[in-house]
Amino acid sequence: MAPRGEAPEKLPTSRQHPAAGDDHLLAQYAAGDRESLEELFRRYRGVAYRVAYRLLGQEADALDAVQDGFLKAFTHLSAFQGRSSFKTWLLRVVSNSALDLGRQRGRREIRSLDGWTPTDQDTPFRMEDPGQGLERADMRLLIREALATLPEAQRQTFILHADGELSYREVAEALSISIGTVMSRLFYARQKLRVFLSRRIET
Amino acid sequence: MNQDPIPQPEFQKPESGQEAQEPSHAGLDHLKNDREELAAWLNKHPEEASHLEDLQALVSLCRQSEPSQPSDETWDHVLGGVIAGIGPSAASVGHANPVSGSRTLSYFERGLRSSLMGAAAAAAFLLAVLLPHEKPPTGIEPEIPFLGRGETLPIVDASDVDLMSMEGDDTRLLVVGIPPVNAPLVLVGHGDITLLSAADEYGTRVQMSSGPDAPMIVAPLSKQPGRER
Repeated sequence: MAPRGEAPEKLPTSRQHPAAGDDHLLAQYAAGDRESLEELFRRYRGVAYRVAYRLLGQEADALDAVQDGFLKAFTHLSAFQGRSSFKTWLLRVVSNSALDLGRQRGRREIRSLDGWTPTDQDTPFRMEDPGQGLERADMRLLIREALATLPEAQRQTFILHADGELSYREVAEALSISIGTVMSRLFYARQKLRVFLSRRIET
Repeated sequence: MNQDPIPQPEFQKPESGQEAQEPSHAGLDHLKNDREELAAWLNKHPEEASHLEDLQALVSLCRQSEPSQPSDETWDHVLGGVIAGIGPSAASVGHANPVSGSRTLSYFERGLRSSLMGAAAAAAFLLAVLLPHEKPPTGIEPEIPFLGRGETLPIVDASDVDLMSMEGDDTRLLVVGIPPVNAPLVLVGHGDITLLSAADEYGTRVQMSSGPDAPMIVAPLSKQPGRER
């Protein structure tokens, strides 16, 4: 990224490939078409940012992770064999970059659950309007705190599904795990998140 | 521990094409694609069926609280960094690169760089003038003998581990601080001991084994009160 305070030369935003498929754009990029890269970037920057932001909690960090993820993806395109969608593959790369960045900067906020284990006896979480009375930013912070209680694998799985908008199968493809493992992680994550959010919202 | 940045997905999937463009963020349409897998999984885990709504509600909650997207100008900076990082291959396609150099600087690095340069110069001057010229303490980080002097491979660090509970008898094993020794403590080595006498005065006997640990001296401890060894 260019330094924040400097005015960079405006990069052209490609709008010439709005109907092209990812594979076509990747082939065009491999043939030297710069605008294909820009179109792919424009196409997936938003979802990549949401995933990175949810994992890191800060705009600047999320942008760094997005940049690093796109950079790794485009410099290792030969590793992408088209067996999954480009989006699925890219989000795996971006989310791993975000996790690495979070570790490097020591900003993980692991909150101990004090030995708590979810049970069916826990207060049921009524989701009809759980965010009532909470501002969007407050809810975002609350969700971040809740996600921080999850083990990394569950957190990454949940975020790829929720914010990355990947289906269970796509999450399984992205993480090279079985769909059953995806299900297990999501449902266990749901149990923890449900109880955490219930307790916090009640208070 | 770094993740593999370049995954190799194992499933087949049809070409995504346009379906991936600007996804509709408010909906849960992609769940429809999972119907079969979901049904199969719930078949095995019927107890989770009642909680499916919770999961979908949580997903919706996340999407309702999604962060605002950065400005177009910010995205231009990010894209410029990507292109700069790609380097010659990007340059070869004629892009006007707004960032010089092959290494991209992060927001964090850039934000700190200019301010730290001035602060570091002042701090270095003050340190040179004000601090006594004593060698600072070293060796805070213990060397891990079995890994040699090469690069260590941290699996977890202290922040990754929460000690939830410990049995009372095990608390004596809890080391607080940095263990002084990270390898077996060798008090004497082979060849450091010369056996001068093997008299059986106190019930001592000598065993000779064929291994490198010979000889072994065995002495009963409580046969001779006041003369235990």
